[in-house]
Amino acid sequence: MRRGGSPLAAAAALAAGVAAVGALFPDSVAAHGIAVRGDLPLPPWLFAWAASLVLVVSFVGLGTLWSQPRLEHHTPSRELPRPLARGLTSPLLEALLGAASVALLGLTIYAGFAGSQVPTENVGPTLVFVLFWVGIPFVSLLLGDVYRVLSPWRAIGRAAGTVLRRLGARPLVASYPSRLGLWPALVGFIAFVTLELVVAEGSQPRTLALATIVYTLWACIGMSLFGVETWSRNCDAFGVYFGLFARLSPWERRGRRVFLRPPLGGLARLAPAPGLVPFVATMIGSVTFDGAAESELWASVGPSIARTIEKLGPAPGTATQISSAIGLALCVLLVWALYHLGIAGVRAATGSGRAAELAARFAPSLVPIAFAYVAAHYFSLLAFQGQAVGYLASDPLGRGSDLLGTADWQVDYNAIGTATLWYLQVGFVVAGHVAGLVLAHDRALALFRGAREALRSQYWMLAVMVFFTSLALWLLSQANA
Amino acid sequence: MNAKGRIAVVVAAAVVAVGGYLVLRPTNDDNGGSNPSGRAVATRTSMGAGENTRASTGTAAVRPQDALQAKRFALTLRGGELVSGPRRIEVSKGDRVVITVTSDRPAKLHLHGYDIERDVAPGRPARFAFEAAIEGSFEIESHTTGEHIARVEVRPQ
Repeated sequence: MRRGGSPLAAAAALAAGVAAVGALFPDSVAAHGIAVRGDLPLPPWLFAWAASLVLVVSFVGLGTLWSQPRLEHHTPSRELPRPLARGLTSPLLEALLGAASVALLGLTIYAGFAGSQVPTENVGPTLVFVLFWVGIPFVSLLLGDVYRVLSPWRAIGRAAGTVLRRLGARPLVASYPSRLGLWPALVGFIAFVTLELVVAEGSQPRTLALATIVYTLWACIGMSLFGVETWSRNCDAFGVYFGLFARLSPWERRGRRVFLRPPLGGLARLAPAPGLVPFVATMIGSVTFDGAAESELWASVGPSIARTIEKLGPAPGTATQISSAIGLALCVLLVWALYHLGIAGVRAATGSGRAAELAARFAPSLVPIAFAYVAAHYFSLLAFQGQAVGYLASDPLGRGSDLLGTADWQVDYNAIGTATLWYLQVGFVVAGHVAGLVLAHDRALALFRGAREALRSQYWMLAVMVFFTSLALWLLSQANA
Repeated sequence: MNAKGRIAVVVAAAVVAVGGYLVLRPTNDDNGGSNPSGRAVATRTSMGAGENTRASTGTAAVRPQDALQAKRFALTLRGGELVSGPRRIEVSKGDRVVITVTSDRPAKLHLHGYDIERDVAPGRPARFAFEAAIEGSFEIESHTTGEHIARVEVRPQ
């Protein structure tokens, strides 16, 4: 595993993640989340308009953006009032949130075994796939790195660590091997998206409960090896994933003080770590597969791959899952390869830098695009399925209890109109594109000597981003469920 | 480029963007483009809280006289797979919809979102009759095989 990540290492991580999940849940029928309702595809005129808007915005950006790096070396000037900041960062609040979060982790496991196995009747799938997986990115964007205090695994680690330190225990590995970088997190991340998009019964409460137990064990082993904070920063799939989105927020915590930073300033200061590029590629590639799996294209390609695999021996259900795994891997590799093509272009245009180094340095500019993918695809899931919390809070097991008197609440699928959703989706995609463009521009100015050389590198990054953004729009113009 | 030039470029781009939107946007009401909020047509019918069958009683029944104007679709399954009929059933919000499914083997069919579950068996077609009150895209799935059979797309009026 070299710095910046070779395709071999990425493939190995991918295989390890898929295998980890595959070994647990060997077979069964067709997959996918808890989508009760899917979004209507973007109408062709809106697709055309949004795509042209992206091009216009791009060229205006090239012509009008600043010519000195601005984000790279910012110093936060404004600060939240100290008493407020101390309140928000207080250990008491952290302990309370941690305890609540561990309780929800326990509930997910308990409900998974004791509750109804219909995904929408059991609190587990909505907690995991809607509130946690889709909700926290939005909260992180607005409020910063909230996952640090919401992570049940970090809370468990901190609580256990306090006791263990008193007994004289220390992390088993004194210093985290820096070349491991974010690779352990990537393995966990791939395992999760495989569970979400490939495993047929991935949304079954029991499956999720099992996966939660496995991940908790993995977390406990990791934390005792490397220490709680090191593990949470580098090896926790969700810590890295939500942490990247939190860098989009204007809040920056330093010790117990909270500063206001310029928009995107957090990403401009992100230090490139080994495994970052494949991680970001997996973020975009997995959403791509989720969208593409609903498209006419995959509807014709997927089953024929499955049939070919079936001829080699596996049962039909297993073959479908293998074909989904192949589709997921192809999408991630496509994103990875196209990004590297762009980087090769940057290198050729400027004649400087190693490809792996450049790839890692420009990777933060893909984070807003990854957020746009997530937001455009899953906003409606959060808005609609998120309402299910109302009845699930009263009847978490789906066994007919009514703890809070809200058990008969229902999801109002007409709360947000289709046209509103379309405009939101286009808005997320275009905003993500602009943010990515600005970050790449700033990074180029900081990396290359003159503004002219920086501009030459920009054409390539622009091409990459226009491609990813158009892909996002195309996916939205297909069925989205 | 100086500050004035920059402003001019940004303004020009904004004009192009807004102009393009006004030109491309359809003027009639039939695909919802001219109804940006979508709220005006959204009646607050809430149903189909999940996959629980208890909500299916809330689905509007189609009266015989209305059934004449209903949008009708016929699907045929053979070996659990769709062999005739549309894979994508497109209707508008407010339409009365009748979907009849025949199959050569018994299965439990489920229309998501509207949350209607029907049994089908050889010689006993399943009939999904409902008013398209929720916008969006909804799968008809066989809970016997897990196979997705078709998709109902309810577009804005």
